[in-house]
Amino acid sequence: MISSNKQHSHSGQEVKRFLPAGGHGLVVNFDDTQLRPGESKNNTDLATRKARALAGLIQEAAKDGKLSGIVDLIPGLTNLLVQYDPLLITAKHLQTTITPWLDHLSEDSGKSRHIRIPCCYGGEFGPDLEGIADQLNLSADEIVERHVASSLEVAIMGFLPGLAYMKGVDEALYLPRRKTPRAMVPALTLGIAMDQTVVYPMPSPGGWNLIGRIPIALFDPGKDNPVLLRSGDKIKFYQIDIKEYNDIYKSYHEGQFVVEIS
Amino acid sequence: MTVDAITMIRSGPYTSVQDRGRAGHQAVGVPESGALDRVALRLGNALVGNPADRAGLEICLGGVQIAFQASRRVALTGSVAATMVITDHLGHDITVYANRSIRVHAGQTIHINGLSGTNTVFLAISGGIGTPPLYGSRATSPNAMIGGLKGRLLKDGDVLPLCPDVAFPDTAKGYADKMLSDLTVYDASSSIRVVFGPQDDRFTDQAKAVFLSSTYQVSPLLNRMGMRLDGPVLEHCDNADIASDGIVNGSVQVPGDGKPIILLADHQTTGGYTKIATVIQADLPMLARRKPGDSITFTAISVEDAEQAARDHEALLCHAIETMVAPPPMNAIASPCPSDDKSD
Repeated sequence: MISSNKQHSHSGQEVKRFLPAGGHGLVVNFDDTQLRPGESKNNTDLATRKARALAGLIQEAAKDGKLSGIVDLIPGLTNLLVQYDPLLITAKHLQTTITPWLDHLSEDSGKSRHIRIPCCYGGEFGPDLEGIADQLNLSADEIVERHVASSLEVAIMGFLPGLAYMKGVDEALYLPRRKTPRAMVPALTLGIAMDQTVVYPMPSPGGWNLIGRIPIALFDPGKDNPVLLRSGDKIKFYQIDIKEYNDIYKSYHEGQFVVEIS
Repeated sequence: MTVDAITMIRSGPYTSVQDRGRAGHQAVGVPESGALDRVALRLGNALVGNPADRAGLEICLGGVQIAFQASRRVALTGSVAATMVITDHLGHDITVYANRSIRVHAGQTIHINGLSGTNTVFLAISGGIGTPPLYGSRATSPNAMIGGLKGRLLKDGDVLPLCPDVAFPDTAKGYADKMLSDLTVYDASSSIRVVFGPQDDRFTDQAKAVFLSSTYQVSPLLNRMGMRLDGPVLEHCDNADIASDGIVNGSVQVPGDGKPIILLADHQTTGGYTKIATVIQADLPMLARRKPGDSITFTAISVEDAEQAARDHEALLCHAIETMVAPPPMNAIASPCPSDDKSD
């Protein structure tokens, strides 16, 4: 039996669990978890974790041959997009298969990796640091202190290969994105906006407030596993000066510097 | 030993190495990429005797001249009307229509200029292009700077290595060229089929009606990431922002200005704007052939009908491949030329 596509959130608003993306994509929506009363801050995180957990279950089922026609799985902040091959499976079959799994999704982030990443703040690497200091009524040093003190978690990956949306930036640093995005941001520049941090893995247009740069690659097509970060990783940045930046950059590219992952 | 290669004497403004793409890694931000016109890709590889996973050249906007340093079978696909000109080492030209394969010898060149009736054609080469694969695919994604040659569109003078030619061998009787006898897979309708969603509930009923009843034009702002449409704006209930989520090929994204953008093969993996509808998979190749200024209308169908359309479309494509025949002989062209007589 297929359970209903309609779920009532705690605030009574009706939320559709499954949404179509053509005849080749199915969105599994966890938006209702956002509407739980009294949990306004953390419930997007809950939806993010449910989407990630479901992706894990589907991936496992596909690997075990229990589910065919799964082309790709893209976890979003509040939903999971399942891309499927309509020659091998239908949305209806997919829905029937995964519906029973939805009640048993893990809401914790499970075993997370803890990663420490060096960052050289300010100067030409962080051209917005001084400007946002005025906006936030903090000194540039205070911004850096609060950023390195923030315990971040990779919520989702997207936009570019290896780009991680890291949530958990200190509330005192909340800012919107820049009104006019920059036409080109240099690779490995670190930006902040809202409660999030990103580092651009490669040169790209971008609208985030740029405060520093990291000396290690987030995406290296030459490696067996080209992507450094993944969803669920816990991230801490630590401050380095320009000399340390240059040293680490050199040693990283010589294959000497090892990123701290525990 | 040297590797067989081709040289892009003129690359054209928007030519790239493409194959079936690298789906399966979008969760770490790696775009799917791959040929815009998957029908042209499948037919081209079939005509030159390649497995379906081989890479060839996607040519948007024409302007291409390629010198062959190896003898290979080639086929141009993506249109019923497109042509290429093969020039032999004596300077003799021969015009070859799309949808048939023909052997090109070392020392000969191919010109592909205007693209009749389409925005993109595909040149398949037996063996396939042999640039380094990433995640099992050679597809170029210029924004992500991966795939193809150095992750970019091709430039004049680029040399592209070729994989060993495993295609069907020529026989003593002649070349094992093929041509399509059934071209119905290219049939186009004026209307593109969509399924409403995933965020159609963020638009007014009027906006949904306008979307289906209006004629849109393909904007000149067209690239491998997306096709912007000029026409009536679509009104949101409140605003255009959503919590960032995944995108599929064909997603019709509508940002705050109300102007729809259909996301194509090189789309970013996630986005933060509402998507009113999704173009069905079966109509994506036909959509990719539309040129700036071409008209587009939309018809809404159900998920079940979209899935059925994919199966019907696959059957048409398989039929086109199963019914390939030997083409009539071409006019004489000098071959093989002396430089083909390799000693390595």
